[in-house]
Amino acid sequence: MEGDEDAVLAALRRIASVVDGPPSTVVEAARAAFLTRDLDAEIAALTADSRAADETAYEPARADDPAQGQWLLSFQGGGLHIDIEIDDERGDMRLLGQFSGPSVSECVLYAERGPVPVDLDGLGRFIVDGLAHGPIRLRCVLADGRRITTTWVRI
Amino acid sequence: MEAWIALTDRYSNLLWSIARSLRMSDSDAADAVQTTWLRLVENLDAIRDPDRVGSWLATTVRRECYDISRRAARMRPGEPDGPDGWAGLGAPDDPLDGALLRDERDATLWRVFGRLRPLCRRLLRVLIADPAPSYLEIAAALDISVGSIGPTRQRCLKGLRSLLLAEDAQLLEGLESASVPKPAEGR
Repeated sequence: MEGDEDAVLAALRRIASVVDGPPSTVVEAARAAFLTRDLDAEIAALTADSRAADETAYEPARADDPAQGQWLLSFQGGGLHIDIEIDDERGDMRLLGQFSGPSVSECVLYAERGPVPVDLDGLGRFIVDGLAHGPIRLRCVLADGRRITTTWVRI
Repeated sequence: MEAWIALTDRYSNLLWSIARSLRMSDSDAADAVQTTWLRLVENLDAIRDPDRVGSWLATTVRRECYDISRRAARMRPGEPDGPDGWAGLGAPDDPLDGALLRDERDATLWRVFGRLRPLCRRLLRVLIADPAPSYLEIAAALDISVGSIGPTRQRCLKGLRSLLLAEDAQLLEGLESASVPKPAEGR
């Protein structure tokens, strides 16, 4: 052990926790994350993200749109396929979604401002407005009673 | 639930530190850390080895931060330009001003820390998470090999010491003497 160096590190560790520790909201959100656990739901995985480059496992659905602030996400699981286009107008986000596959009886979008009911039209399309940046997920109950939830994705 | 709270208590500071080491702003760091915990909940059943939870979390939060940076720089996909890559990114709200520190020596130390080369600052910012991370967790946080941590750490601490020496030799002396074991405790 190099005592002097560790003394400097120990002092920095103490200071960092005072000046730049995780805010309490971050710690609370971490604790609350456990409540999102749903053991019975099937997961619809993110299969495409037009933002993704080759570092992640995701395949880019298309090249970056030169018109910034718009991208596409696709989820697949339990026979369900969900495409979502996200419009980002300076932090005010809008989702345009399209479901295909088995019929869905109800869906809820979990977002920063809490759960938002999602109304599907006859063609399986939906719009959700006024979302802020942060993690979101869709949770749906199918007509046959099965529950499907998408993975979290940060918008 | 109790085990979960213990887990979040143990790793919240490390995840925050990793996001900060990647120059994330307050809100981006909060997003990255929250998403990381949500992903852990999703993957709890897949992570069999409890010893690997820390490095899994560290890897996940690093990727979330990369993703946020990439989104912020959509027109420049890939590693940011410049010699330091990710570490060279400036943070919009830099927590390194130390204005919150009443103790002058602490403020000096923190300011000097902020003047380190970006790669060193990045490594040390993760190293000084509380509780101290394991080498596996540090390697996951920085995407480097475990073997390279020791030598880099030595080099960065040496750099920090010489910066401190130039800035305030007494401060360094004070830290060093405080850590010398008292004679009664010697063998």
